[in-house]
Amino acid sequence: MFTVGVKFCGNCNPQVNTVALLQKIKEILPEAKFVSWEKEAKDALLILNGCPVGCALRPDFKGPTVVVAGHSVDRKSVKTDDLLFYVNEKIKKK
Amino acid sequence: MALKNGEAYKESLRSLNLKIYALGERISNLVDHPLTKPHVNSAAMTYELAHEITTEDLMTVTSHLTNQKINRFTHIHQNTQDLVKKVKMLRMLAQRTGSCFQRCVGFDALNAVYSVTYEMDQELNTEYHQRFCQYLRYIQENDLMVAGSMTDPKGNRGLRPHQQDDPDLYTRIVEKKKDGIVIRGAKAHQTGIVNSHEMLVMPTVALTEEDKAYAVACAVPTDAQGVLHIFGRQSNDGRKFGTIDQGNAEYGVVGGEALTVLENVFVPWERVFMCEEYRYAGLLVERFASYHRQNYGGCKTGVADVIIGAAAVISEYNGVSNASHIRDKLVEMIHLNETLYCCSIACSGEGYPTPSGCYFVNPLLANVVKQNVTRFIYEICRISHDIAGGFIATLPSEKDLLHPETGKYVEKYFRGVSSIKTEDRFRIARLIENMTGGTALAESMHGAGSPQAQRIMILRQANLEHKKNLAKALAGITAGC
Repeated sequence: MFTVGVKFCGNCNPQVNTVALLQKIKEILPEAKFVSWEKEAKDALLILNGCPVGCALRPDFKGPTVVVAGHSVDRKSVKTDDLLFYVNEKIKKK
Repeated sequence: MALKNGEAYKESLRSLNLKIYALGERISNLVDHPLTKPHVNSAAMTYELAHEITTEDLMTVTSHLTNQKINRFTHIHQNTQDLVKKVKMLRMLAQRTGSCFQRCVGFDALNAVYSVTYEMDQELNTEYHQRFCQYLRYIQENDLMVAGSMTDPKGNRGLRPHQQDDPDLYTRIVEKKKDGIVIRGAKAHQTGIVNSHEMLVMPTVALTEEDKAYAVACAVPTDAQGVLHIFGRQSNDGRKFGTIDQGNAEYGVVGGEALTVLENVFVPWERVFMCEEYRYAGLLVERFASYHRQNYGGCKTGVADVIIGAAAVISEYNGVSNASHIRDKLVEMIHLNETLYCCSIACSGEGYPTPSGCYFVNPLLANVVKQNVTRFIYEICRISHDIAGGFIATLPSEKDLLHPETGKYVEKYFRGVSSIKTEDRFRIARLIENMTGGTALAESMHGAGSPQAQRIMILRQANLEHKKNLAKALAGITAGC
């Protein structure tokens, strides 16, 4: 079991449904526990932005971080259907 | 403790003792009264979403005064990113409520008074800014809702405040005492004031020396002695006593405005932030107005997101969603809406610091935002009516839909696509009707100032001489350059 802190951007004009994306990530990563980014104890940080602007603030966290910004994961463009796959791979690698 | 949630906000309202009248009667329980409840619910979202994981990034920020996490509505903008996030927050909130959540007016008043009092103190050696920072800390630490109280009744618009037959038509100082001042007058169109904790009074126009009694900025609890609120009617407000016919029963339409009468209200000095310094009235009005005009490409785009969605839904329920002209009209609505958003983002990104460190929007672009809102929202609403069809104006009432004798006919003859329940078609039609007509439209025209006020500001800041010289230079004209 490892812990992933989650932060959302606020979704003012989203191109992807980050709430639904997180739900799917939870389903395929049952070994991970997802908590608020404000929790001190976490192994990784997942930042979910609804569009490519990616305006969610980056918390002061030195550990591994995965950033989804619209149809991109850590700035690499991906198709909507592949978002889940890439996020999953990134989290597992970290 | 900062950061109330929605329920704590409602509870805090119950402990106030506001004097509110509506439809000829006194409202004793504004949290639950049908006329005011939707507006309370909408404002409560500004508190509730500060605690929701998907929205807290927009809704909260670190105070520059206390370094504590606070609600953004009590924040002083520290950079252009704060200005941009304000717009995004407003759009997101309006998507959730489909209505006005009222708290931006006080937010803008806090930033305007903060920046102007700093400059007053620098030039006049007064202590207004220091006082205001103490007040701001109180607002932030208690997460209070502040109504921005600028608009005076104005009486004869062709006369200055001191020239009016009735001197109370602009709020004024009637007495200066050892421990404070006494003010009298009224503030009109006060958005959200009946469910605010505080009102931040400001002058409504630039003033001359003869008007100096009207140069007053101060903070007053909304339930202070001498304060009386007369709640304004809205079109269709008789429907607030039902559910479906309201369209948006949970959050209502626009902000729930009131006329607030100030009948010899005492204000202690620690809550006074301008007292007869008439030269600063115009600056304060300009700061507040620009901040407030910035908002409209945020909140109105969020409201229009709902209208666009509703138009798309009704086209499906009517069985015409695949028609090319319907898709083209939806594109036009989106284009207009995102243009408004562009303007608000632009005036925020082009913001700059005032001497206090508080960031100010680009006032030219902010006025363009609001000028566009007076047109584009009307056009978006017009297209929604075009797509929806005339039945949004002729539907029977929800009582007829639910009536044992008429219900079966309403059910049968107002059905669209057979797979969709008539009641659902009924509900989306009522949502469109209520969000796109009457009070909602007029608010887009006059909220944050009427169109001519923006045009005056646009001309003042557009540097027409520069444009004339550009033209003369390219035409080879040297005279007058």
